[in-house]
Amino acid sequence: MSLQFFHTHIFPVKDKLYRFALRLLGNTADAEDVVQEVLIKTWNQRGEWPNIRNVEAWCMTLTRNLSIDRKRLHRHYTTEEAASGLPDERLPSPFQAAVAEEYTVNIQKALNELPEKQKLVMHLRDIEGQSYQEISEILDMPLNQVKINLFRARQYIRETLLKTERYGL
Amino acid sequence: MDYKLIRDLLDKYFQGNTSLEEETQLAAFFRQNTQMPDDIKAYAAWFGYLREQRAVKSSAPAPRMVTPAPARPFWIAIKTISRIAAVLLIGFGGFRLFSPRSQEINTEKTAAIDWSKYEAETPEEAFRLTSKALKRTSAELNRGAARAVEKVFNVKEQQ
Repeated sequence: MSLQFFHTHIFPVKDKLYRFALRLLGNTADAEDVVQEVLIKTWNQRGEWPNIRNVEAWCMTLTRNLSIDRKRLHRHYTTEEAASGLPDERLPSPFQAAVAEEYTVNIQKALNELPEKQKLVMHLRDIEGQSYQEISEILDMPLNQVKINLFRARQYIRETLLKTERYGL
Repeated sequence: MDYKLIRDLLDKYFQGNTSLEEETQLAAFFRQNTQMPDDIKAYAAWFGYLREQRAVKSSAPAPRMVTPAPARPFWIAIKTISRIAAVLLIGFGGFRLFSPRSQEINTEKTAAIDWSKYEAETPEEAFRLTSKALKRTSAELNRGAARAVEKVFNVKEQQ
């Protein structure tokens, strides 16, 4: 029963967990390690599953906590590397073939310039499609702060896109 | 194409007021359309970037403890069963050979003797048989004691 639940409800979330860990750590190997650790810890706590309201959000929170712990341990990453988020070399980019390269460069740059909280809120909402309530739980952040951070992050991205369109900056 | 709806949704989106459904609608619009007014096209790069990020996948396999064990080949199962059967057979054979068989034989021998032939039929006969048995016992004991005394004297003489 537990095994079946794991394979139908928890294991399929691993890509989300990976992207979130990658956003937090900026390193594919560390992100993979964190995902493994989350899956193992989640399995080991299978007795608690009936008490968890939202297993996916619970896994995301665990991913966040383990990523933060790992980040503290590996302080040798520069702020620039850690902030770079998802690296460029992973997948061939159909997107880059379709739009001007300067857009991608400017989006990456703008994302790197965002404060950590704004970056994480935006990631959880715009890439993972989490609700405000889930983001609030995962990041342990009040609901109004979630909305404010998302608003500011999107405003900054909008300005960047419009500047790129006007001036190609 | 109703671009006004898209423009309104984009404004709402950048104000942080869209629902998840509306955001899905925007993502679908930018995925399905390449031709659009320039003011909307400026945002296509952003939604393309988000789409690209959603495609990133982990290569992590399921942890070993949650991977079901592969089915054992038939011949391995047969081999295991044979081993268990051999051990059980040897154990059962040993048990039958050494433990209760001797008792069964004694019981059979005992059962074959008809003890009723040796029982006394009158009190006088019982008295006679008992006296005879006691006399024989006494004689054996006396003979044993005399031999022991004789041995002790022999040892003293040799000293």
